[in-house]
Amino acid sequence: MAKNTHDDGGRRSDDRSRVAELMGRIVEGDDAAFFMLVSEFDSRVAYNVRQIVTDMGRRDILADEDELSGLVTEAWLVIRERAAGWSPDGGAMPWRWAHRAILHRVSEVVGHRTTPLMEDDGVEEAAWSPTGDCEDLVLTRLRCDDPRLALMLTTLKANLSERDYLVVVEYLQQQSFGDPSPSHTVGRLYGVKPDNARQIYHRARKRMCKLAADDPELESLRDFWWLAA
Amino acid sequence: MRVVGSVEDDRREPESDLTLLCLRLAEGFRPEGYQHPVAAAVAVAARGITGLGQTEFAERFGRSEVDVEAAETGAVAFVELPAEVGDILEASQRFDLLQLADLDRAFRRLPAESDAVVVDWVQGQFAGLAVDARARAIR
Repeated sequence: MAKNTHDDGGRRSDDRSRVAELMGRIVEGDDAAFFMLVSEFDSRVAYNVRQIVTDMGRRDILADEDELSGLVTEAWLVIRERAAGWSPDGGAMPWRWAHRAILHRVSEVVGHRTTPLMEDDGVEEAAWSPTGDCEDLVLTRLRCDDPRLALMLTTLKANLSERDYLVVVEYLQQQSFGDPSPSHTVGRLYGVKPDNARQIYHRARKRMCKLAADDPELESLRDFWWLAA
Repeated sequence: MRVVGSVEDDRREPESDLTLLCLRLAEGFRPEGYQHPVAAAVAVAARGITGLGQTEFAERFGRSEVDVEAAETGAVAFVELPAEVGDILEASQRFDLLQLADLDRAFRRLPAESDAVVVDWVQGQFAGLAVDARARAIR
């Protein structure tokens, strides 16, 4: 036990000097040092973000690896933005030092739950009420009679929260209309930030790619244009 | 298992995706006048992944320091980045090169002054175009 403590102490000391070195380089404008910092200390920030999300009572987000990963990214951006203000002289590590700012950013991104948290629910269904038959509308709007689109929409619906599903579908539609900035349009429509709309869209695509790769019943989707790239 | 009050890290944490960080960096480079902001962010990220300084990175891959600096300051187009940049990112499995190619494409289509309103990358219906962009970036 004593040996472990000693090792941890040594490691933490090494970590501190490494962090100080990389933070210094970031302040000097070496952005590669930022990626080095992230690569080496990502788990620390991830842990802090998980704590914040836990304290917010957002178990739905804790269960969503992609969402959590996005929040960790936001936390790193906070650290980078504030790097010049951090002092290596004996104080907290940057992720502890910037805790309040990270908390603020996480709150901004996540928002606050407006419906009661229900066990095994995991999504804010009550906040999102689709109007009409969404699939038919999409199929008509996209003017696509490819049966794989219907399969894709059904699969998406089964694997996403209702809000994410609507965001993705709207995003697809806006793209088909030639909207140069679908994330902004969708963001306005659904009350999410453009960055979040973008993330929701790309996570959904990633998830669909994985589903199509793993599930033989979805084999036909593998070369569907949305997933084929 | 973590002991209460013990160290704050968890080294078994899966490595997170760095694509968004790269994209955000590129968005920051654009108003700074970088000619190829996405390429610059990608080049910076690749060196960051290796943990090498510019000199060491240049030596490792048989490039001149000037070339490395040029790539990191956006003087080199996305599709003309050295092969090792794409290789490093792909090997790290922490970047979605398709998304990065998409943003590069969107930036080339949209004027920089429209950033505040319409910065976005357009992943259109013609996914094949994105595939081509990616392939050229890696090879």
